[in-house]
Amino acid sequence: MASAMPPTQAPANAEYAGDEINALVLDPGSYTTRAGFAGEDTPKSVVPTSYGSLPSGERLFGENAIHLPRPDMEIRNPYNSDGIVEDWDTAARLWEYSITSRLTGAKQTPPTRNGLNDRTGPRDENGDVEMEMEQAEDQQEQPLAEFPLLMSEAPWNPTKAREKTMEIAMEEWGVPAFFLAKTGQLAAYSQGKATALVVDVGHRNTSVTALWEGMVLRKSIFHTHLAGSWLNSQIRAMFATLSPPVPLVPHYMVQSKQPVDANTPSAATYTTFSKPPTASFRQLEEDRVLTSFKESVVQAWQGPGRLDSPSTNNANNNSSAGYTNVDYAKGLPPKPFEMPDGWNSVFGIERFKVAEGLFDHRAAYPTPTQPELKGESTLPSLLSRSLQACDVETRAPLLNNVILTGAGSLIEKLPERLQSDLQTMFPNPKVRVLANSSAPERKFGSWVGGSVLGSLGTFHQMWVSRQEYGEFGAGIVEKRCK
Amino acid sequence: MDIDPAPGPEPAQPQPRSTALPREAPRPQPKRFKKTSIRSRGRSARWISRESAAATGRADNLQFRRWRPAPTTGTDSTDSPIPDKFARYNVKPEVPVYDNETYEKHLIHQEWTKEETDHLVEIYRECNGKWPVITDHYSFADGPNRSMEDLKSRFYSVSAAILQLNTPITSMTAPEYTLYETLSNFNPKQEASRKQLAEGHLYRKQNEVDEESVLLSELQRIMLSQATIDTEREELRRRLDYPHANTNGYQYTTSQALTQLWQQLLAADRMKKNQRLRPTGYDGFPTATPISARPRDSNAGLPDSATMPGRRGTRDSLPSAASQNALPVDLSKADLQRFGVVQNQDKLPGGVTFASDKLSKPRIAKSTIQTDKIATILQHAGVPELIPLPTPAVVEQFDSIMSKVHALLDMRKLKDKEEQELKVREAEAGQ
Repeated sequence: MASAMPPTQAPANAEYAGDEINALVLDPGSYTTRAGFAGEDTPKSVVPTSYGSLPSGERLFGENAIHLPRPDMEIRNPYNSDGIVEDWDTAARLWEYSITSRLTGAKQTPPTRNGLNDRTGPRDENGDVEMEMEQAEDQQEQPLAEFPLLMSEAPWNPTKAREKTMEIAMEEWGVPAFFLAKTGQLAAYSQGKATALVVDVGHRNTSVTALWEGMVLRKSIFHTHLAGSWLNSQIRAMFATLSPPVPLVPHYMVQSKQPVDANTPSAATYTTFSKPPTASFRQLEEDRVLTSFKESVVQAWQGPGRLDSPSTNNANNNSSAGYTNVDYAKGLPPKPFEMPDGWNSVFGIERFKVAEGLFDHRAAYPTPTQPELKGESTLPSLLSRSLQACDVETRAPLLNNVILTGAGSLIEKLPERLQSDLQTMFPNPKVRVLANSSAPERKFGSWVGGSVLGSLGTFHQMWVSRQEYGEFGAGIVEKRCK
Repeated sequence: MDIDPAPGPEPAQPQPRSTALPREAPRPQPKRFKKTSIRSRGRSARWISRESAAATGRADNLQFRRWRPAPTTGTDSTDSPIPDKFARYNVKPEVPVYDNETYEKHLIHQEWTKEETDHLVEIYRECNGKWPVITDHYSFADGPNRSMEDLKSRFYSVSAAILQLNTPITSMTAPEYTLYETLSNFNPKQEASRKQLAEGHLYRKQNEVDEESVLLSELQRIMLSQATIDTEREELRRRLDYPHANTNGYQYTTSQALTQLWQQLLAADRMKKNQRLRPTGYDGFPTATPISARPRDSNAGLPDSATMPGRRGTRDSLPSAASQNALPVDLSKADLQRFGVVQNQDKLPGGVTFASDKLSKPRIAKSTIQTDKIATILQHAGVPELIPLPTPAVVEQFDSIMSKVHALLDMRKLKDKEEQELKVREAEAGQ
């Protein structure tokens, strides 16, 4: 057996484990792409993954570009609903953009356009001027060639996608060294744990990964589509069920607004467009409104028990048979929300109901695309499936270190509800759900883990260098990046 | 004065005025962080960015650009000590190494092919010897599904075989030998059943968990209050009235001590005039012949009476003064006779005596004539000269015969005397 230091023994102060080599850490996701330098505590570059696509074929990346209402711009996303990249070309450009726009220096303008070659030099028969192209080309085309690159991937990433990623990094960008790590693994490292059960609630997928002493247990990886995007659809369904249905008007439509009373129609002037923006653009903007709704109003019922189970709450002496947690929640003060056009209302029990589907598949609102949820897609069943796939002796330590990460997990009281549900499912072991209280650390959990990993002195033996790639080809990623 | 380069508001000095006007109090100055003088700050450290090897454990020569403090002395070391600092964390697990021949000779197994075994060793090395990860990553296309116990047992047996080959058992050091032993004694079935137990334990229901926690808290409460309960009990006992022994009663708990006590009491009792204690069969003088060897008529009752004294122990040797029967068990007359139990009330003479003496000594009188007379009488009575077995009944009979013989002899003597006396008187009367 390897005689390594036990993980419980903290290293001495003299053993500073950092050895910073200025590695780049790229954490691509289906909602945002995070990039930054290793050793820092937040990514300097956070770029939305949605991009605008013009009819000319030009692609517009970046927050300033996609939120501008243009008549002919379609909003697309290179990821599919499963969280795996579909459109590799766009994805490569997007990732390059996320790094070069903020982190590395701006690209040099090409000699054709930098105004230095206009007059000088003889012109040949086509009127072209001979230019110093070779050096400039090298410098232009390889802004990423200076730094080693650490990328993160979804835990269920297929082998082909992994190899393609490596090819892009090595050949298109020319990085000197490369490594591919799983997001669950990185999120655990960001919390300083080597043995953990990581629950990552993202935009399109929620995934569960089990990590044992630093290495991922592949058979324990499960994912479900119950995540931020699904929650948006639930909120839309909830808005539709209210009477009158809640009008969802995004910001760009509103020119000016007046304050109105609750539940009265809005009194705003809307902008008129000669050619209105596309439906995908409207969807994107409506999602922004829903994101702020999630951040301010939505709350998960914190347990114990589900929302519609009988209440064990002793605060209220009403212990009649029909008293459920719903009734208790109805007694809590509702929260108001104001739409961009001034329409406002209070949301009481609805704000609990939208998030209930994460835990109770029967309590979800039926949507047009999906009338019913399967029981096995809920968060607790996901965790139990994942644990079943692990060895018996590892289950108790894993339950003691459940890490909740991802921007979707910032729903209020979600960690408490998860803890109470898990403890009810597994009464014997001590269940501990670790959810970092700092919002940026949870949103960028896997990026921060990548930053930690990339700046460790002991990690530098694990990079895959260009030389090794040249020798073994793209198949080396399966062997080295476990 | 500080050489503070940063400009600041001039401290308002109180203007010299005539004493008629009130003096303006000096305004409190804002606290300024005093920068040390440039001279005293000294030179800042110089850092240089250099290419240096990534890590010493790598196969290729990957170079990374790092910032490191410029060496103050002239010599510039090309390979900084930074990679060496982390080289010691690059631990690799030990794996058994074997070649084809060794495999053919020692490591053949019915269910494991060489490729699969090689694959297992490779996975072990890659996963750093962590068995849950190994089971997770292990996937051999041609082989059956292997549980963790199967993998472990195969790996341990291979390791043990290789270990044994490298260093024969006789020359293994103690830790090596213990390692070899643990490797060889791995029992996959036991491990599998243990895991099932663990699984059952993991999925216990809430009520079981609650029960266990309640019991544990109860136990803890008991342990904590043990001391206080003891002192309270002691205090309670002191308050109640009971006779206090002034000698230590604990010395008489063993059987030896009790027998000694009994002997002492018995001895003291014999000194007295009227004895109150009756000696029992367990009088403690360890007889050379235990009860089972004493002569008896029948052996039927042997086991019972042999075991009974052993069972009762010495406590029963303390008799109650009222019991007539000194035996531990009341035997009826018929039983006494049947079992041949004789209660010898006489004082036994010291030394060695033979029971057959009781049959021979009375025949011998002071003079030989008397002896002959006794012998003729006995012969006439039909008592044989040599009686083989002096049982108590025989002895008793013989005693009665002898008393009658003595009586007869005395009568004869008396008769002779009287006849003589009569003759003398007749002679006197006839003259």
